[in-house]
Amino acid sequence: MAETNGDTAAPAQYKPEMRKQPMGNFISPSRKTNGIGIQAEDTRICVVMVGLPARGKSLIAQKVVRYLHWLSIKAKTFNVGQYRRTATPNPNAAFFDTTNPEGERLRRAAAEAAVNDMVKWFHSGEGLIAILDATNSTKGRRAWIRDRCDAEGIETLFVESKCDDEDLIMSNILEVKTTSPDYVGQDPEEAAQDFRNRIRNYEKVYQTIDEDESDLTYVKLIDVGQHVIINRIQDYLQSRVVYYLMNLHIKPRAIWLSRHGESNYNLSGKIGGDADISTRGEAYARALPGLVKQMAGDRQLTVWTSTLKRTIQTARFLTFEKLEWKALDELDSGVCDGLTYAEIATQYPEDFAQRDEDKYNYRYLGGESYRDVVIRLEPIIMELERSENILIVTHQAILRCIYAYFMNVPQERSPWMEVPLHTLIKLTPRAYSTQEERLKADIPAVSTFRAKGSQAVHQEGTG
Amino acid sequence: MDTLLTAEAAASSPRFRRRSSTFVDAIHDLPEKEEMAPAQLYSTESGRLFHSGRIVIATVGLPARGKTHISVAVARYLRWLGVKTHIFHLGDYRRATLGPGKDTPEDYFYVNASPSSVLLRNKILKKCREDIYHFLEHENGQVAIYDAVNAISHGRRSLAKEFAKHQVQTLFIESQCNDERIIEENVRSVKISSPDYVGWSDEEAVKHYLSRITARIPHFETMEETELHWIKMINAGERVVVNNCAFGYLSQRIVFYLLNLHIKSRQTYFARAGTTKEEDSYKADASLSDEGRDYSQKMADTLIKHREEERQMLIDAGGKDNALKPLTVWTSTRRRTIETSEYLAMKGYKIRQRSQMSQMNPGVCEKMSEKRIREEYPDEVGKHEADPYHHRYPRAESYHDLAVRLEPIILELEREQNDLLIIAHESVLRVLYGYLMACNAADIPKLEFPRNEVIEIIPASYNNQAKRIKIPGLREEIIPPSPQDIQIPVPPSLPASGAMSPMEGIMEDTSMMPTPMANPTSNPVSAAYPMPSTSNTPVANPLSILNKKPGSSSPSAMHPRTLSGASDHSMPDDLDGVGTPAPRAPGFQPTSNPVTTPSTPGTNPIGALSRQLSATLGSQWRRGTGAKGASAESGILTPEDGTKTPVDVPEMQLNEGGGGPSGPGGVGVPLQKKGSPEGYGSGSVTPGGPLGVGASSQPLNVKEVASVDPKS
Repeated sequence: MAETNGDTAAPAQYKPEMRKQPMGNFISPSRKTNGIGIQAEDTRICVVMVGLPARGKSLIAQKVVRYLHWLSIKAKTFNVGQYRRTATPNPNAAFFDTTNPEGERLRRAAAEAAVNDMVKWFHSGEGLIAILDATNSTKGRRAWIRDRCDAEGIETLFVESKCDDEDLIMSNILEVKTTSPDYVGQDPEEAAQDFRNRIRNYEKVYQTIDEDESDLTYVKLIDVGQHVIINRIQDYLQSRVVYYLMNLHIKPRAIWLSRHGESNYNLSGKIGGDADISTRGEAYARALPGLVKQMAGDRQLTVWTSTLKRTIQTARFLTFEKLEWKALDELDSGVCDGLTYAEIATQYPEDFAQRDEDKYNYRYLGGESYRDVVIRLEPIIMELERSENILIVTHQAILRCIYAYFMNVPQERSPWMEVPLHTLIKLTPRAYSTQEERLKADIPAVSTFRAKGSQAVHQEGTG
Repeated sequence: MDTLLTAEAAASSPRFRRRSSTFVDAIHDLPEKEEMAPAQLYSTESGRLFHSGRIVIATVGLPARGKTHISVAVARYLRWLGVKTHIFHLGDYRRATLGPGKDTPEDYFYVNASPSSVLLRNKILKKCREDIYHFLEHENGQVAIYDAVNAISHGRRSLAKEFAKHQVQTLFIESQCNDERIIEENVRSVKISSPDYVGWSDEEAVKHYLSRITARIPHFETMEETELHWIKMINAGERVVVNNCAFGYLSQRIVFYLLNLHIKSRQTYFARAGTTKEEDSYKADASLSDEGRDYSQKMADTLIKHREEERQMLIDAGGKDNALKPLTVWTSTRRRTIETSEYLAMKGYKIRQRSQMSQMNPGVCEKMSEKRIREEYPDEVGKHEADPYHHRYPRAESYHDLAVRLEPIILELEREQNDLLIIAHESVLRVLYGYLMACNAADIPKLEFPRNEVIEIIPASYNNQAKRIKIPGLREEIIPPSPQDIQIPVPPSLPASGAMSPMEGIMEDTSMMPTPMANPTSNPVSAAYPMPSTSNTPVANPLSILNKKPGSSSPSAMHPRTLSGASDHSMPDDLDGVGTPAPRAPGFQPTSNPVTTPSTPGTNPIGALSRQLSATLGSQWRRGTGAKGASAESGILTPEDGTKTPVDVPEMQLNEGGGGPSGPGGVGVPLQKKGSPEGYGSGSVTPGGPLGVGASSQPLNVKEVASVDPKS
């Protein structure tokens, strides 16, 4: 912010206190009072999942939480299944038979425990969005949840995932459910069978959200977003969640990430710029199609690059369709563009230190911060969620942000992650987490990684 | 598509086509930088963003369902994001083809219309489609909004197929209403204010209008086509059904926006925060001074009084007792805005705080005089002058940063159903105003919101209208823009400003500085408000500049657009053609050019002009047909009226030595005209006048001072 006593400041010489970063925490409403006036309005939303098992509810819940975290919105999932599991670790299908009073009682108790914890979490003041992950398959249960939340001043948003495509359901069961904690140590075949029976029990009582619940705020996603019904959205944050949900699909896919090949700037230790790739970078560009083949087989990919030369050059031997995205351009290092870390440390010593202190929020003079980058990457993330197999050739800071989204890396750590040159990373989003594989090309490159607080010797190539 | 779209036929209304292409061509002429929209994150050579390809958005729905409103709102939002968007109202083409004073044939909308009507339909459709293709294929257009009834399913299918042949995706947006009250309100607010219904009671007029729709468009099929991309908005967004829309980033983004849009109209008011004890410190987050408190009461009283008068007017015109929507107040989380709202809170109004609405961070320039900024950051000042919208001083935010941060607010703004008073810092008001009035990014930093005015934005289907409500009895010192904007406007060649009063350092904002801002009006102190002293000055647009490119606003370029718009576009929807035969009073004409109006990324001189027109003239239709509406119309719309306001110096006139197409230009009444670096070098100088305090101390600026509108 601003300097208060700048009389002595010489041109282009900044005082330390001016470097204090604006936090820029604009997305999440402030919960703080100013000590005066009315408390800042804070929306608290309970997203209530609705749907039969194996409809991707947990996947959706987990993705929404990840997305919101990435945007600095505090969110948490409350999985009723986990509460139930503590009481009944390995239930069989009979447990889920609605005519089994004991099962019904335990499930109700689990739901109550989850809702209680959620309310507590909201009251602790840290959360904005909670996700209640359960089947919530009856009107009675939904009415109960809504009444409970209304009483606590929490908005409800029901999200129903409805899908009648048998193939999709079975593939979901095989992929997800047989690895679920309920079936630990059991034969997968039997597990799948048991699970289908469990679903049948739910089907008996399942009530989709319909007209007589038209006073609820809900989203109904039919056949993975093919057809969506959105009812009575109350505020902006809800609409934002809905928007994200509409971009999701659950078709299997993977995302490949690579930095550009080593650039001439990497060699000289400069950051930023729009340099050509070096000879070794060129070798990586030529090796890339082979690496991709090795990891992706014959899958048809789409290649995204930034608009800077080094990524375009790196991707040029790939035969897939290529799209250039301005939003994938490297973090803008402002006045430091074209300098080495050593030069930055000399010319802007306070900046150098400040960046180490809070790298996520640090904004280069005249440039960008990681937070700024996340904002401009949001369209990319949305597009990635909509797309299937994408190979992204981009830059270190950008890659860190995209990686942080998929791997749920917290803000304090994401700017410090090591993403070496000449390495192809494959991310496979799964229901409960994203899997990562790395394939290193056997082509040497400088390291552009500089650890926190370290000397300015190893430059971090914002390249 | 609908009954209207079927075949081919040649129609030649050169006039019409010319206007349309003038619009786009003019856009072409502009340098890329100026094309950047307020919240645009990047630009591309093709002009198309997000790799989303080209999209036609076709509206579906009977008249009075808010189609035009949705079209305009979507266009406004897309342009704000930087997507080149243009609206094609089929009704305008129909009116243009029919010629003035001609009625649409009775069977025009029938499925089994007579051959002559079919021929006419085809002719009109063809012309409209040609313009759409031209826009998309030759003018880097990305989204064309095709505003028509599109009532029949097979028509929609063939429309989508037709566009697909040109690699254009079609997204349908249907607006459906089961709620009679919404339809009636809609009819009341936009349709029946036409001269046709003068002397009718509201109720009868609505009834008559609706029965005419039913008779004229007897066939309507709601969207059920599973293979098409469509969004159905039911009862003004209470429910939204989305089918098969995951085909592109933009389409999803549009859905997102529509989730927040409703079609009920409501007012938005802008007011500044009061002055504080530590006026020039950003970090202090100071409390209001005594004067600031006094201001907050006067502002609130003025607004309440104004609303009361308005309510009375509506009641007199036959409206209901609850004619006004409740008022909600938004403030930022900064002390001064909250405290400015306290008086209203005491009176029982609902106050909400929005952290995103905090003022622009001034960064290193906080508390610095302009002189010091110039001394210490000469390079930054240079960059700032080159691009005041996007440049950020060290550690500061740019207007662009602010716009991006305000995007959620914009969606919430669309969502809000009550009337809304926004109390915020001037920088925030500029950006929000820029969105609502579709201002050019380059002009946003120059908008002015003196403290003695509440700005009222009156929405209408076609375009919004801005009005200034004067707050009487304020001390002059507190009126001008606040000094916290220092970092923003550093106009060129400004002499050291240390000498200049409390607001040293403030450039364009300080109306006290003569600076290049030539416009007398911008000096509240001296010129103050030469407008009529009624509390409601119609149509003042804070946008000071119509366009920055003197050369490009040649009269010839302008004429097609402004003139041709004249007679055919008086009504914003489909039905007019259908039912209400009479175009509006002649006075309206310039305003209602639909093709040009609603949109126009500001950079286009012509666009800017028309935007200006639309911005200012916008919605004559106000709520209801009350006396006020009428006066507004007459006051605003005719060219002569435009020039009434002395303040207003339409840029074109400046550029053309005061001659120019004064009519349309004059209408804009840009209340404040400020110089911009690249601005009006060519304007003739009429110093003196109400140039204000700073004038004498600013000889440098005189040459940049634009002429004062002689007519004033």
